[in-house]
Amino acid sequence: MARRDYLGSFELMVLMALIRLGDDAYGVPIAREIESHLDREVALGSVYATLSRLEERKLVTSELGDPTPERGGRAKRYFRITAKGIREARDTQTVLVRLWRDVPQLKGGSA
Amino acid sequence: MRRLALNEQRDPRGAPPPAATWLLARFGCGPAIESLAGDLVEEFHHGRSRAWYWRQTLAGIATSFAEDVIRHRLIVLQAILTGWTALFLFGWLLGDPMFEWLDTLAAARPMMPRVYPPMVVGSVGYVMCGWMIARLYRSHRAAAVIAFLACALVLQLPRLCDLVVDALGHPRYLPYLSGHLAGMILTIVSVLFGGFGLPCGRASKKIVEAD
Repeated sequence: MARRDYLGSFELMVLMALIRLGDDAYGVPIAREIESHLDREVALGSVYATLSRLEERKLVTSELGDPTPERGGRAKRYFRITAKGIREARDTQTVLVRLWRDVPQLKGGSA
Repeated sequence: MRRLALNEQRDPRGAPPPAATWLLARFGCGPAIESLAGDLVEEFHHGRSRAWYWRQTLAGIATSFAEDVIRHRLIVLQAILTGWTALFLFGWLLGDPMFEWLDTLAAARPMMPRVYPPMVVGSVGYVMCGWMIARLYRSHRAAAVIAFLACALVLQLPRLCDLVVDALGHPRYLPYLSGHLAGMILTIVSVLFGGFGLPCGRASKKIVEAD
């Protein structure tokens, strides 16, 4: 059986944030999108570390924007999910849903 | 979350802490550090506090270091081995002549503050190792130098534990403990100075961009 690397929970969150943000996905909005659902602070460094890992696995691509004075002359790095990334996210969701199903402790939000 | 964000509100016109920005540029690893630094500045100008900026900077350095070490573990291992080899060669070839020179110096100038030769020789050796690692592993400089430093400190820990136990048993061991602690601090300063404070070739200023 071929070895498969399923996504970790934070990797999945980052991919979902990328899908939701579309073309405007760079560090700050990605972290904000995750924070708004997690209800706690997210380290931007962790977001970039995860994105760099996902990029290495070709699940996302990135390109540099123009440097802006607001950012001290530094460019934004925009990220976009690839078709492979969408496929991986869907596969991970399928596995999670399958595992979730028919577990009595997880029914009705009591656990 | 909203409460957290409101608590973090500060004067958006202030400049971000320069020391934090400097630390991130120096010790941050990987190609995304420039973008991360830009994001932090942007968020700071949108009202985040200095405490938030510092927290995110330190987390960014730690995360990028861990990520670089995990992704390039062979290179980091190679850097650690290079550092120890260089330190061994330094001690073997230059250690004794340096000890002799320091003794002669101390004898010739009795009024000169007393230097502790092993510490001086060790510091010079660690500076040289830090510099050599930085020069040989430019594209992973921060990860390589910090990993070597961590390794050097871990190797000094057993002796530190022994001395702590001894000093707790009897106060006459306290000077030995403080001497060892001073040596550890000197190790940190020396490796960091050699790795980040000295020029390490053409790419040293462009390290963040080149990475």
